[in-house]
Amino acid sequence: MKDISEFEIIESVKRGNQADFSLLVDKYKDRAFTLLRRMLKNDMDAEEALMDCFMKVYKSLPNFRYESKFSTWFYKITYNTALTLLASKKRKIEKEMSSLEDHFDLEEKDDKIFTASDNGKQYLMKLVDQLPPRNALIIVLFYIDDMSLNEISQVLEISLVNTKVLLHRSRNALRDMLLKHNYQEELI
Amino acid sequence: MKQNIDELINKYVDNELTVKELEEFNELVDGDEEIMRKVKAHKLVHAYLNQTEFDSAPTLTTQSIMLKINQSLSGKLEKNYFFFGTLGVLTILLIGSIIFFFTYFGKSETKYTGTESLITTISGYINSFFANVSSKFVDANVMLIISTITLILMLGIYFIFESRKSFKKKLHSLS
Repeated sequence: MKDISEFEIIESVKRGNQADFSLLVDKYKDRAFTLLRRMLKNDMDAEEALMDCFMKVYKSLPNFRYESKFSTWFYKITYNTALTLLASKKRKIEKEMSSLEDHFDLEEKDDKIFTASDNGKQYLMKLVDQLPPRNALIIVLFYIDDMSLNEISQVLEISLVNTKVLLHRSRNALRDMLLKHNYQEELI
Repeated sequence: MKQNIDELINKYVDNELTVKELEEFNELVDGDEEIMRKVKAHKLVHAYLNQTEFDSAPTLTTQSIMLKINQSLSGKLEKNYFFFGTLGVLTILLIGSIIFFFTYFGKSETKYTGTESLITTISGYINSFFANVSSKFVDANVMLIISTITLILMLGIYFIFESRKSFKKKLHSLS
């Protein structure tokens, strides 16, 4: 069977073939769920946000004009959906760049995380779950989604330089925690 | 200095160092055990994160989303049916009134020909219609009966639509 391109699917949905939207859902549901889980730190919230996010994408699809890649546009909606949910739950969230100065402390739950981890990889992934929403998001988009820093800056609506700073700070924080437990010796 | 080293390590991991910078960086790392540890840990973070895969969305996610979309679309159609239904009834009422007006009140009027005569005929119809109607509405009892019937009809229509809506909701929650 011939593979249908993302463009063809989008155009088909725009023409009114709503059933074809399921192809987009199938393609993006895992990516969006990964992102939402890391940002919201809660499976139930992530599931709720996932539904909201796809509904928003479906409703906004007729307005999508290919000014950016579909994935960038999609993640922007996903990110904003997560922020809305976080805000509605009155969790502390800073959308402005000033939050770059925010201090996040991975030491807080370190003992618990370290005890529950069998190896460095497990430990690291649990630490990623402890990162603030934007730091977690950048790690997921950069490493799991292979997105460029330029695309990530568009999703977050911040400058490229600030995106880079955010990535470096997140990575440095994770590295310092691995160093604390001498996990660097696992490197072959 | 610490910040510079962190920046250099990040550049190194992202392959952003020039050949000259790389040579200097290697010299720096070879001569300092602490920086060596940092580089190793940084490489490990990079390697582990690169191995990470997507989490699986809950089963039936696609079906649930498509069902929600279908429901929202059928809701829109339902609203359209209501709108067009109401518009249709009003149109029929209007046409009926016009027919009634011309057949009932027009019988006694004189026939004219030409455009001017037509306007005179219509204005005559309107005058006689309002004269007849206003004479009937002068009676307070007639007004009271009409108002009561209108109110009952409006309330009735409202409750019929509300009960239909709640029935549909119950049906959806059961399915």
